[in-house]
Amino acid sequence: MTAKIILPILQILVIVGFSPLVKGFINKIEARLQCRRGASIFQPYYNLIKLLRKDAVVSETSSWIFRATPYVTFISILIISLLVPVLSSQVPLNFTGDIILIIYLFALARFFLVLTSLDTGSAFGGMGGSREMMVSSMAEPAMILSIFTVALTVNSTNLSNITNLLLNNSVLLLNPSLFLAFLAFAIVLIAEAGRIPVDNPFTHLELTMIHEGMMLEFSGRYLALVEWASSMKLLLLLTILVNIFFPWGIAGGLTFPGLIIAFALYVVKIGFFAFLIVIVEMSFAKLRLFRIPNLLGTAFILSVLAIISLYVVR
Amino acid sequence: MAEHISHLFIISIILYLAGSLFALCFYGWQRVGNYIALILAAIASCFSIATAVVALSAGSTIRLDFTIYHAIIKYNFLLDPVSAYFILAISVIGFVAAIYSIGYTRLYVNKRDTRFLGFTYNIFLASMLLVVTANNAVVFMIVWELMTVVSFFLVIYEHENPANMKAGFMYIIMAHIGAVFLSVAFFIMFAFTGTWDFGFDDFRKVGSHMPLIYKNVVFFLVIIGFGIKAGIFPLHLWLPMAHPAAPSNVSMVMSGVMIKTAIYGFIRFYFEFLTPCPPWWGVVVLIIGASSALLGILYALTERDIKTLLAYSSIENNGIIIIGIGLSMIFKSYNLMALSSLALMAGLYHLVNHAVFKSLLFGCAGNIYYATHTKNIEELGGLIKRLRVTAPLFLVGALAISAIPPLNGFLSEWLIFQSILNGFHIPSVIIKIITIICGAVVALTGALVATCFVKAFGISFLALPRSDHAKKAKEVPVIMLVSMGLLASLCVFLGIFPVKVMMVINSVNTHLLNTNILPAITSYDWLHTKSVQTNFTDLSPTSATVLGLILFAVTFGVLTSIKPRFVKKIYETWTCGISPEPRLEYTATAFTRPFKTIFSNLYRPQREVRTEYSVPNFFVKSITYVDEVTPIFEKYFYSPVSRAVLSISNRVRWVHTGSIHIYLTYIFITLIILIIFVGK
Amino acid sequence: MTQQIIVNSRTIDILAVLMLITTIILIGTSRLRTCIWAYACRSFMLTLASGLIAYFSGIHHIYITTGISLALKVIVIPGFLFYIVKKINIKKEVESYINYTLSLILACGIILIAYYSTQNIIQFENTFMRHCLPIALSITLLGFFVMISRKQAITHILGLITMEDGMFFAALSTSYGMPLIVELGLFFDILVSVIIMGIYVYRIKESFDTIDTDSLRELRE
Repeated sequence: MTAKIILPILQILVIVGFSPLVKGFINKIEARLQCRRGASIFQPYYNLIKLLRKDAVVSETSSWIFRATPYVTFISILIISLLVPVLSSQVPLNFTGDIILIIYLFALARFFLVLTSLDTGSAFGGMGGSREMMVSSMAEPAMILSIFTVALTVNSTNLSNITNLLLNNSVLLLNPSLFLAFLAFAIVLIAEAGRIPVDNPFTHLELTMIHEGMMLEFSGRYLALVEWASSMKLLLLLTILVNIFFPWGIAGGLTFPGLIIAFALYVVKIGFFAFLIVIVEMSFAKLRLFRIPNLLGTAFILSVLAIISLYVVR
Repeated sequence: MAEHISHLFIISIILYLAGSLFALCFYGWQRVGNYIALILAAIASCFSIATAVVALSAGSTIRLDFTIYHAIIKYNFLLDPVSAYFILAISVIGFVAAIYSIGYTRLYVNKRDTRFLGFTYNIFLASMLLVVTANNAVVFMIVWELMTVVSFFLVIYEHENPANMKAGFMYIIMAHIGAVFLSVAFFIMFAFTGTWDFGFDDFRKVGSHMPLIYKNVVFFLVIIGFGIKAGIFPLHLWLPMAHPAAPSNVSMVMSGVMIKTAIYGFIRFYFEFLTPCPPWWGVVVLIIGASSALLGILYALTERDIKTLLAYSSIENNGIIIIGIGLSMIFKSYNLMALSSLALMAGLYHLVNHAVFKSLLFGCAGNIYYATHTKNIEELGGLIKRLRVTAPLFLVGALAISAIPPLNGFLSEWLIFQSILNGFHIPSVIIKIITIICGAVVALTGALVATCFVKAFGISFLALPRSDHAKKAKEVPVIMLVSMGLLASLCVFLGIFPVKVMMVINSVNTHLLNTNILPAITSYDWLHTKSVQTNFTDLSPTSATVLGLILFAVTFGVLTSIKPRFVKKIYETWTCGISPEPRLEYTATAFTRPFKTIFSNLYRPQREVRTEYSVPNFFVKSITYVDEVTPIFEKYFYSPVSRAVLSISNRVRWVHTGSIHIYLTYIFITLIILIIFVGK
Repeated sequence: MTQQIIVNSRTIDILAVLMLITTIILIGTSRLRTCIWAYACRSFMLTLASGLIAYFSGIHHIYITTGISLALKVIVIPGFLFYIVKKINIKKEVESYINYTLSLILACGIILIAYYSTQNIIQFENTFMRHCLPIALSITLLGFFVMISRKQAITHILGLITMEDGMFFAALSTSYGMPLIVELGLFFDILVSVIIMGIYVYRIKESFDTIDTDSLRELRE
């Protein structure tokens, strides 16, 4: 019983605590690969602490939507972090919802962010918001279909069930359909997390940015919450990817040594995929805006193939 | 019990009729007449809500028979759980819309005959109730036509606007074409009943011994007949014209529930009359649903008139309901009854959800119109500071329709996804693949709906007002807000506590499909929604909401402890050194521009930039940007048809000589031919 | 034992899927060099798959075909193609009659048809390596599709060798390859045809100053 209370808290702490680190790690590796020294990998933490201590400047054109958005975004991502199996495949709160709820909670966060981008009345915000909606609507079908492929392999949409079944039945993982689904999901992840080649998280040049454009007007605590939420989103997407397609090492139960091993392996796996993201970012240029649907279309077609091959061959 | 229900029902119908007559009585005192009519409508709606609730909880079937002496047809009415469910949806929306109208009709006081609005409104509601209870084909067609005609008068209520007249005529013409198809369908089935009653009870028996070829014909006739009412693509043309033309309180009812009577028709025909049906019927219905959903939202996306946008979105939502129905038909034809029930539940859940949030949104659009006298969202903006109550209400509606948890749209979307996923039980591979592609379409549609309503809310309510209309807006009368508040709280209730709703729908399904899946999908009352196939998944919106609230409290506490005095300095938006102006804001056209580019094959956008110079080539006086979407359905589907009809009528015009003798000759010849034909 | 067989066949299946993905890249990309890289990658997967099949089944002559195909398809032909691209200094990238999105959708449809038409065979014939036949068929058809839809002569070569890959893989996965002598003949054929077509591309370039095959229409007169 105590484990059932501790685990959710542990999960939240891992996601909330480590998400800035992932961002710092990616930035650092990227800098090293570009022969730069780069900021410390703890820099995101320093930024967050600095921002949390500051007052905020709020635009006079904006309304309560602007002030509510950081909280809504942050909370919806926090709820997701309770539903995703992070260290143990037994998620105590898994009766609350499944992967479809998770996808739509991401949508909730996005809905409010885009509203805010229109709220301040600057043209940059609207541009970012409109592009964000475009990218996410193109990514949504691919995401849903690749998740469905996994769900149909194990007959469940509940992430905890999925991880559990795949863990105990590793042969299922060696499935070409799942492989296709993995590729599709990886492309979607890059798009959803706003990384190169879809979006450039480092730029503040209005013609190229998508996600950053929506956050231009935030400051102080609001900016901290939104930034934190976006790095948590990246980590959560990575966690879902890692724990669905490579569940090895995740604790099956709630024992203490199991969780320790799971944590170590989790760090290794996330580190590896973060490194892969860096490699992708280094080797591609940012796509032109209207080339993005092509990339996401490829992801969609991969996911369609995944599900069709699953149906036909099964 | 049975008498109570029938008495309640009859009382509510009588009250509706009384309301409409009262409205006419007060000649010089129009306002009072209108109020009395609307209040009576609200009371009558309460009675019919009571009817529906009692009938649903009893789960029984009640007959109301009036036999008039020497009449060929019997005035049969039947109150089974299916009817009761639709009565519930209709009368809840009718009730709210009646209250809303009390405020909204002030817009028309001294400008127009408001008694007429009360009169037609009451008859409209009564006719819808009769449509979903009629148990006889002749009666059904009569009340169906009554509903059409009455709603036609409501559509052209603001008749001095030629666009409204055009919309009204388009509506009535298409509705009548639909009615013709339906009558033919009824006649074909009638030929196999062997009685002269036209009773639905006879039709229920006819399905088993009708030859397949006739069943197929009836299937397509019904798809077209009810499809026109439901606004499926490409038969949707009237819907985005007629719904915006009607006054907002009427569009609430039309979009919220009137188009659902078509769904009622589908259910009656495909689950009762024409059973057993082959699997491909379900596939056809599914594909129609999916394409209506996608195309509906794609057109809504580029729309700038808020009511037209909502009308297109109704097409999309009807498409999603039809997806549920189609899936249910497929499962049923493969005898997977539990899944069939799940899919039907998804469809019916979405039906009531859509009724609630679409009425809410139309109501809020009415508020906007009431306050600003414009429906063009490009002229709005900044309303959140002027319509302080309407804005959150609209936001609730927008979130619900975008299927954002924890509001009600999410629940039905979730159920649809679960039914689609369970499609892997279907034996045929090709149908499985079609179902899953429909799943992708639903996902794409969901994302586009979110975009569409971000645009609708963001552009019309946020930032700075873009015109004087918006600048001078004032909040609308309280009674309108109260009725909208009712709907908004219904949105929340239906989303957070789904089990109660499922119990209600389950009694409908138990009646239709003879399977009770309630134990399989719910375990704890109020908390838990499980899918049919065991261990598939769980969902509990209640606990998600509670979690969200707890987490909010914790986050807020932590943040406050880090920095107890959090100061918000108010300053103007940074716009690169110019002071912020409405002209700098993103517009609705700009917001959806990327979609126009991506789906340019569908939209065929026609863009034009015209620049006027005060001094040629140096000083620009004005720049006009025109961006129009080519209406390809009108262009490639309707206009060839209408041209063909016109040319045919031109060719046969010589028949009309104008001479009365010739006309009498025609009648005579027809008579002779008929006599010969009958004599054979 | 059965577990082992399942793992083996799944491994081959995954290689097959990778081959399919490289073929999709061939259709999706707009750069000639990427196309050739994709081809080389696919050939490498194919070699790997055939090596694994030889190892799993214990049929020795497959090792020989594996070796030859490694040398030929992974090294010689891509090298030759890169050489041509460099030599005739192609400035224009891949040109197609149909746009990117549409050709991806068509490719998806082709793969769907391949899966759909082979479903009866793969459900009864063998219980493992079920993805191989449909994927081999779709690679063949996609190669054909590339030959139809692309304008340049060099992409015709790529289409042709893609088709050959598909055929080879189909033979390999369903009946552990053809007799050795047939395979050798095929390899020789493909080598010669690539070289001939390479020279032909070079000639077209020499005479028309472009490698767009549309210009060959001028030869009618």
